[in-house]
Amino acid sequence: MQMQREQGIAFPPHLISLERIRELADIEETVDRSIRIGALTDLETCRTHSLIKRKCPVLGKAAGTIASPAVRNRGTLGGNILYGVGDAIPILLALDARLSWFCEGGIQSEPLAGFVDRKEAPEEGAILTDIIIPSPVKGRCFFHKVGRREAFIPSVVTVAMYVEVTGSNTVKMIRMAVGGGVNTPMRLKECEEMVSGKQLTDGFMSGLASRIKKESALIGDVFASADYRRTVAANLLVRELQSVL
Amino acid sequence: MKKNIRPDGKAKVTGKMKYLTDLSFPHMLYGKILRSPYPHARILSISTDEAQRLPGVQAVITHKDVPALNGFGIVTPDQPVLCKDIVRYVGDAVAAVAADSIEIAARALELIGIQYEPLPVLDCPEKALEETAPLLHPDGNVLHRAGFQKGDIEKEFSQCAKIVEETYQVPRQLHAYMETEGGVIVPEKNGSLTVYVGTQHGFKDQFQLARILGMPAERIRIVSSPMGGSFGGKDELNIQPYGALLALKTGKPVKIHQTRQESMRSSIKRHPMKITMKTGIDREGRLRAHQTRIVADTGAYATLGPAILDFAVEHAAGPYMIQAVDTKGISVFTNNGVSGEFRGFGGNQVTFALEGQIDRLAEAIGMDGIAVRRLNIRSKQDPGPLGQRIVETDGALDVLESAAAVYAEKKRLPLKQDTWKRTGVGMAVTMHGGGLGFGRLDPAGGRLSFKEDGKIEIAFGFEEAGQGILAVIEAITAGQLGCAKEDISIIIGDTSLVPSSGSTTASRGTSMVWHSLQRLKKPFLQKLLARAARKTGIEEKRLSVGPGGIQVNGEYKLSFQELAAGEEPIVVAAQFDFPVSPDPIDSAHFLYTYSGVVAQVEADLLTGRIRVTGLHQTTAAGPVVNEMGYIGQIEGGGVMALGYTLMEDVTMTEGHYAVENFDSYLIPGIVDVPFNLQVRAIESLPAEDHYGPRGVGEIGTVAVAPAIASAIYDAVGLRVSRLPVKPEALLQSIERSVLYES
Repeated sequence: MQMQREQGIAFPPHLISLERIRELADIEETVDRSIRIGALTDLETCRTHSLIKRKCPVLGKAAGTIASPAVRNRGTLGGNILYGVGDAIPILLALDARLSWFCEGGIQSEPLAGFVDRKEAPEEGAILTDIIIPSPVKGRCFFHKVGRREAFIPSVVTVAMYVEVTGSNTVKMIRMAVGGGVNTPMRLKECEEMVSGKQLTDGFMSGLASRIKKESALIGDVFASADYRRTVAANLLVRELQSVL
Repeated sequence: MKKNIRPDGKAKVTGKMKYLTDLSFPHMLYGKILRSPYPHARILSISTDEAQRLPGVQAVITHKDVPALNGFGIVTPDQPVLCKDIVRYVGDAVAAVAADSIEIAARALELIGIQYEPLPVLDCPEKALEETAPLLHPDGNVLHRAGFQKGDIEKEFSQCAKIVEETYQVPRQLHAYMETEGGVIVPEKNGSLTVYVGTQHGFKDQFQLARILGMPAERIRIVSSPMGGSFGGKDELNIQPYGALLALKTGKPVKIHQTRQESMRSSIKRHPMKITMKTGIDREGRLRAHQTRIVADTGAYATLGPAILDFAVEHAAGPYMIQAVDTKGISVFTNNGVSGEFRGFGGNQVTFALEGQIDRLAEAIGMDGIAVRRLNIRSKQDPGPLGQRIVETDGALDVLESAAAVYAEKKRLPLKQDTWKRTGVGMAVTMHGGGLGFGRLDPAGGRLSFKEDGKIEIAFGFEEAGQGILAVIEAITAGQLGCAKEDISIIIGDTSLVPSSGSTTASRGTSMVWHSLQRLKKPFLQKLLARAARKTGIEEKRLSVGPGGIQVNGEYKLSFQELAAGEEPIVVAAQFDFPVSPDPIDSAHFLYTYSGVVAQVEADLLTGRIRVTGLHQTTAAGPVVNEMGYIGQIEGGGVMALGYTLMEDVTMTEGHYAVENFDSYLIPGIVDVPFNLQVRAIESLPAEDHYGPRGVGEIGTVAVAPAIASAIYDAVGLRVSRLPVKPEALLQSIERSVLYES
């Protein structure tokens, strides 16, 4: 909202703070060993919370790349998601996160991808209450954000991956996600399908790289071209897969 | 002595420092300036009625309200204070408002109705130079041409073993001072005007405002320090004329403080330049012929565009002795913002190109870059780059040898083991002229007083922009007189209190403070000691000045308070000019400083991103006056240049800014700055040198970009010719050579 104000967009006439609802700002492990993060949990807490550090350190790492320490103390994980192109979204997509909404008829749950594609709440007036990371996180997680400088910078390309590999270098399960700039973060479903159940070899990787470039369909702007963004996304994901071998 | 805390240090670190934009006065109004939405347009009509009627609006001004000259510009006043019929860039001012609050003033701007007829936009020098291009100024679209020739260039080229030709492009850089332009302008009861607005030359602002307001200069008082940064950017007038006109019209103090967006839109920037160099080298590694063509995008108005081009032309061959030199530059008006003064003053642009040439030539003939530099670098008695006699020092060779040693040491470091990273080391050297140059009015001066209360007051017309001139004045005055810093009071930044010292620009401050003291100390100490002799009855020659008072044979005898008691103040003043070459060559410099830079980088092969991991700068600028200030200037300059090299660019599309704030215009954050910043000062000067410490305000920015570029080549084999270096360019070159093939 501060950004919008700077850009000359007027504030709504009334703002209601939900900050005092403490239940919206906590992190806990649920009975089914999922991790439930209240939507109002600030990013700094996401970065440093012991449960996240223990069970899902990649999310803490991702939170640490968002904005600056001052902003992370105020900005929330829910806010980052509702922004639509937030830097936390790709890793949450890769982790297959779900959202809980407080709606007229009660709590509604949906995959994060549903909201990201729609970019609006399931119904008018719905309030995002929780982000749920299905657990346990068994596989290997990867997150990398590239900006135009080292820190306190919007993303040019963000990639994330969750992968489980068997002993014989065969991919049992994989989720890949990309985002960056104005690009709506997305799962690379075709690439995932291409990789799933396959044995990873070098020749295979080169084919995957071009598939990632194509499917990510990242668009460019005056600062970084589409081609650059797609190439970086492919480089980072392929490099990471190679390192799994 | 050297590691003193600067006089303004504590107030700054604790946040207690009051800047001029922090000031408030009773009944103060707030001003806002309406600027053109078009890069080039004709004004068909201006209607201010509705804005005038808005409750809380106290005045709306347009070109009709400018009483005298409707123009400003340090050399040529070609920029309208308020445009009448034509706007030439999106920062051109058309109207201004004073109101009871910022919000009302902002709303009033929206109510000012202006009809424009858009005109063709000249968004690059090439377009502006086309025969059919509309003329932006009566004399056409060429602001200035400059050149320098020596030797028979064709003959020398024919003697060369290798010739390298390359075009270098450098961006429009923002000064990015923390404190945006602003302050308060107060109409005084006696009809005079006090202007509390930062600038790098109070008396120049006084002169320019007098010309605009049709007021005698003596009735305008400029209070201009401290500033939260300037870097050349606040030397030209910015909001002062609007504040002054509104204050005079309303009879009330008017505060204007630009937002970051307003600042980015209206402020001057570093000149983007396209520099083509063709340079030849013979088999032995001697540079024989060096041809340079410079095209500078000077934007809509002149300001210091001509002098900056002259400076770039002068430094085109840098510290190298080349048989034949042929340099031609042109500074072209466009509808792209306004380019002007910026730390380095044209040297940064041309040094990036020159050092790039040396690296390429060395490679072309299979020689080491340092060896080529050593073979061609100037020695002590060699004439300056325009053939003028210059102050003799070993600076050029000293910094080269220092950088060469550091380079060798860094090259010996073991390579980092990472499949997807490559490291590289690069170096560059430069020389940089101080002062305004031959043929330009460049007066300096100072005043030393012994006050009734026993304080030694030193006064200069210099400005504190964060660079640390207060610490320099304190250190030099105490050092030269022999007193303690507590005995001194410093007066700067107020035209009603200070003598004229010239501008606080061109790395001249430190130098001119020292020169002033050389002139002031003898007559001052004579008068002081004569009085002490009279008061103590001790022979004058046995007396000296020490911390706190007068000493006899080194023993404390009389406090300054006792010495001052019941007496008239002692006042000694000096006026002189910045030293220039005995050879009458226009704009040529006389006092130079030298820099040798070694940069280390790490290139990420997957993302194309460059990290500068080390920056070592050797500076030869005479004795260090204030160690912390010196380090601050060189390190700070290095970081500013790192930004210039890797990320900073005020991108413009069709005359409009594509970046409007610090979310899209990037300056380095602390994570982008190498932890390993090293500064080495070469303080020695020849025994016969009597020019003292030179200023180091600019030199730390000049040779950093080419050193980083050279390190990038070392890391990944990409020859950089365009700044800022885009990861994209790097990735493309890497993709061709490394990725997917390994």
